Amino acid sequence: MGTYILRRLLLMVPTLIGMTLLVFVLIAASPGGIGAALNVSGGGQMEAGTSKAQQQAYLEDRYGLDAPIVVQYVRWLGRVSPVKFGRRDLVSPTGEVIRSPRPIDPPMHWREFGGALPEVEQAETAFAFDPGATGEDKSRAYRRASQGYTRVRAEYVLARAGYEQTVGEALRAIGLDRHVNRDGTMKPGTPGSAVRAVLDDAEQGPIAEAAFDDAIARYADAIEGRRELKAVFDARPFPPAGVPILPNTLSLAAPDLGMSFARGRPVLTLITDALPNTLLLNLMAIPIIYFIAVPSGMLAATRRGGLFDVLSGGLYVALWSIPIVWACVLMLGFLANKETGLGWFPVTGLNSIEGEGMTWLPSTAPDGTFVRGFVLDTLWHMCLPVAALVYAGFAVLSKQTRAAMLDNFNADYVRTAKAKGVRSRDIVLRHVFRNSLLPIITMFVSIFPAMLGGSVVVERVFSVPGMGNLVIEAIFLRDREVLLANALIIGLVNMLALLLADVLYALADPRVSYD
Amino acid sequence: MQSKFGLKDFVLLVAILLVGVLALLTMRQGDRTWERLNANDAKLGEIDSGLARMQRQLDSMDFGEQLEGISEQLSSGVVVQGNAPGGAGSPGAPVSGSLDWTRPGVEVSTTGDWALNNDPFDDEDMRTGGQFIETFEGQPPKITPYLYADVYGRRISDRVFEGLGSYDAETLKLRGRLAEAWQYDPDGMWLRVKIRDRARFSDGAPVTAEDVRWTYQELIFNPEIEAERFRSVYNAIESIEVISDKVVEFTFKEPRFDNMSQAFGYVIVPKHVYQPWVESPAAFNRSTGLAVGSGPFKLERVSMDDQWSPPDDIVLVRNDLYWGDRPAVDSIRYKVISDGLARLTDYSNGGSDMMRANAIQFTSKDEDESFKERHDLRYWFNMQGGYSFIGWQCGPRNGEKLTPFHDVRVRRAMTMIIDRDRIRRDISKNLARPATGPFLSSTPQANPEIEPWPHDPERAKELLAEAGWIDRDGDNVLENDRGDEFTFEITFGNGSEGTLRMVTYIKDACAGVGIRCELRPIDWSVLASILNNRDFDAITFAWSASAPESDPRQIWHSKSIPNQGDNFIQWASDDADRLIEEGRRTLDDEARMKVWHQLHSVFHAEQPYTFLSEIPWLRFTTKRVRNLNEYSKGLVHEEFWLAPSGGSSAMPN
Repeated sequence: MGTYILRRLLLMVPTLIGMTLLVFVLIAASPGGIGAALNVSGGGQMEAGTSKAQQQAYLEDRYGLDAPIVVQYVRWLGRVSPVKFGRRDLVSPTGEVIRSPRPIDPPMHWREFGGALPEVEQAETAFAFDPGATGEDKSRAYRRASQGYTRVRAEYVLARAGYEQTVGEALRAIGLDRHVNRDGTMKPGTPGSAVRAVLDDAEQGPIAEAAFDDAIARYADAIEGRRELKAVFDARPFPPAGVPILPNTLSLAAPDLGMSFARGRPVLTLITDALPNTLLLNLMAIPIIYFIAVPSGMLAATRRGGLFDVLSGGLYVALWSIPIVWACVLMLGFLANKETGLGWFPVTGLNSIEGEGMTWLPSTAPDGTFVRGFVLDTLWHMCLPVAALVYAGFAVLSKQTRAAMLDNFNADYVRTAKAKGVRSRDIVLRHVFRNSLLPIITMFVSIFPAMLGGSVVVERVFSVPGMGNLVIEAIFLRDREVLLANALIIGLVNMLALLLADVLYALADPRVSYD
Repeated sequence: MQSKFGLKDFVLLVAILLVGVLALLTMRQGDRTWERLNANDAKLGEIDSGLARMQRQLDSMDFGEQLEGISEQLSSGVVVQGNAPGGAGSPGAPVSGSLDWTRPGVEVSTTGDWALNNDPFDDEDMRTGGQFIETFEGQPPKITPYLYADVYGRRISDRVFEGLGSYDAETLKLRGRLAEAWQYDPDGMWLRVKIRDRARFSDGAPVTAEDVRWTYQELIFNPEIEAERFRSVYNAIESIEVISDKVVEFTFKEPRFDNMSQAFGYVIVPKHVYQPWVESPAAFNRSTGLAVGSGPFKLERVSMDDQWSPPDDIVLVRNDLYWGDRPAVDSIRYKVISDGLARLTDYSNGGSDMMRANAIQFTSKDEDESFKERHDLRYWFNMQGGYSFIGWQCGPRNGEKLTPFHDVRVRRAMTMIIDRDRIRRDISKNLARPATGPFLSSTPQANPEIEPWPHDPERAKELLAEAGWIDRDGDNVLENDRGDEFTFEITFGNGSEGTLRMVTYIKDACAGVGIRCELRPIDWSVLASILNNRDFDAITFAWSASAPESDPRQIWHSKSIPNQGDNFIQWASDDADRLIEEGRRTLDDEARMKVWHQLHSVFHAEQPYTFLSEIPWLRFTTKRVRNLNEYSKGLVHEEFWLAPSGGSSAMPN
């Protein structure tokens, strides 16, 4: 059993990698690509006044979106992996993980322009802090270097974008259109000969040269800035992150799920904000489903073919076939709207506006009026969303229970029990029901991961800020980090749940063995 | 003996559990009471210290000196220009103590006191207090200044922050807000501004010249701060120099018409509050609700550890230390409901005081008498409304194939094929106004003499024939001399029913003259890359504006074609380029408007876009909201006041 579980656990790693890779490729291949999220200003109106090319170059560099997809994916894996290789990252006093500054690529085709890349002078001795430097001194020194480097790097990125554009236009001007991207920049794979042709052109040559000179000058500044920052970083101004296993080669650290592009907040915070709301709804809904569906399934099985069996079966299937969007709209119109309907229930959110000021429990205000209190208010707000989550769930579970019970009714031990003269109530509850529990337990295990995903429609219509809302918005905005983190977490929980189900099988049913 | 878990045990267990849960809940309740108590204490302390500060200020104020300053100024014959309605010289508004901050020989301008156009305190039955609730359609991820990226963030910013100047809500003229008086170089290269002595932030600290400099140079132009959106907008200023505590001087890169509006436009943050935050740029970039300004409203809790974050409602409370006209309502609450039906249901249930309506909702509620009894339906045009258009690809699509629209005759024909009045009537429900160019007809930038092109398919056919598009093989589709059929794709954002109906109509109208039009719905997130790659034949969406005078360079100049600029239709016109450059250089308002009028004529003749309509603002508001004025600038929340519920309550039943 132990080896089996270990093997299953180890197999999870490649499965998760494959799954996230798939999600990653899907996002990268979707129209608009990964960076699309950064450019959406919402709705059908765009505000005039920003220069796209600059913004894009800046942001792509900032989020590392200019690297090839494979590199981006490997970087992401490195961040989320709990096992880290190489020297450990640092943790700033504000809890930020600080990594060694990324290298900078020189401008494309620098060789064609003659001359060499600017050299970085290596300092003779490594940078070191004064022995007496306090933590504050160190972090100030790091900040100064980091700020300086960010500035020169941003300038270089802009200059490089300008250079690629200029050469792209020059290529077009001399008729080498096939080396030009749709957006007017030169293609990464442009052969050197094409660039040389531009340089030889009397008109375009000097223009391209000037753009290149600008870019290379900024490049020199940028690598110098990087060297300075790297030196400060290597002097280790902050404590290292994680737990070492082998010094400087292997360590363990908490996975970093990254920052959401579209919202500019850490993915982990977004999830911890959204998850409780979804869990709250589902923890209400699932017991209701079970408490209604399982007993009625049992009842239907004992009176097979009877009126209750037919009616409950029919009703559940009818409910099951109502589309959830329609159900939500009907509920809003008839139960929540005060003009067209009854107006008994609130329309949106999980709390009233007054909710925050309410006492926690129901109470009576000094002037004698009844105050719902926060708990009751929340329950009241949850009525409609929970109803929407619940109504379609009865059919499957009650049919499952009914079928399992019927199977057992025909078993030999039931006939024996009947022959012994056991009361039929005891047969149903003690013998048949217990033996029918197995599929119901395993079903619960598979429901649990779905709970994390949340229901998109219900959360959207009733304005519940839960996981469903988070994911659907992330999909609309191609918010890569949020989607990957979600895929990772839900995948992990799913696989753990399946493993748990298999283990439970073995425990519950002696006939199953994994050895 | 058989130990058995029976019903009794179960009841007992449940009872014990219940007691435990109750105990926990009661403890939670105690915590909440404690938290609220603390918050109240903090608030009291704040009010107390504010009072003390004001007392001290009153004590130290020397009225005699101020009066002397005014008379000195009057006798020295300084030209004081006042162009605000009832602004300069209103009682209790000394223009300036002295003029020793000025550069000699340059006219000093002022627009007097910054005051509300319709002060709620002038209404006789006015009541203060209450909470005004507005619904947003989307969740703003953050409202920290210079980090927010959407229109919601800007709306919050408008309430919490102030720039040196602001547009007058009625006249749309630039007026001094934090700026009391200023000198603008006649050559347009520098601007020296004196900040109001009274101006202070919501924590009571005065607004100083250093705050103005710091905000621009160390916040917006700090590369570690993700304010790239704002960096590319506020690009006219070369440097800012602090002359004295209250005097600041801007130097501009070149003489440009919008230098003043840029220097006056960006909002000022308190350096002493923001500097420690910006010390850790990563945490600041991640922040969601770090908004502390000098505006009439403020956020209640603002600190690195305790700030507003989604999905909570955004609650702005009245800034009791505000230096100008105080608003009448206690607070404004912005809540988010993204589902359209839920939004309307919540609004009509009395869940909010104002919601944005679409044309269909607006017209259907306009016929609903019982709804109109309890709600106001508001409909007006303002500078933020913007205009919708169809952009024609005048250059090569994708950098490959030239579309038929590079020919001005084809573009003009397309405009005449499309019955814009019908679109307005049937789809915008007669709520929109015809547009003839990128300048809204309510602004002085627009040339009032231009009439929209008529709907005339016959003349359109003639123009197309002139351009070589004739039905040569009798299949009811036009061909050019090479035999290529006239086919194009119209790209539009999906999700809006109105847009879908419009493009379907356009497809029909095109078929009527022998043009094949195909529909290409896209997701909004793809729009940017389609525009960058110039990957469309025709595209329709809308531009909106945040200032009354827009700079046409960004969208129309041929220099905005390369570098993925916003001239995505790749329209190059020497006339337009010349006029745009001339207009940008012209500092004199009247002369510049003449240039813009000429430019407007060029747009009209060339039809790079087919201008469809100017978009109005449609709002439902409850009857309890009073003194809500439909300004050409938009809405001014500071002026609202709320009638007590009762007579005309927001709540039915």
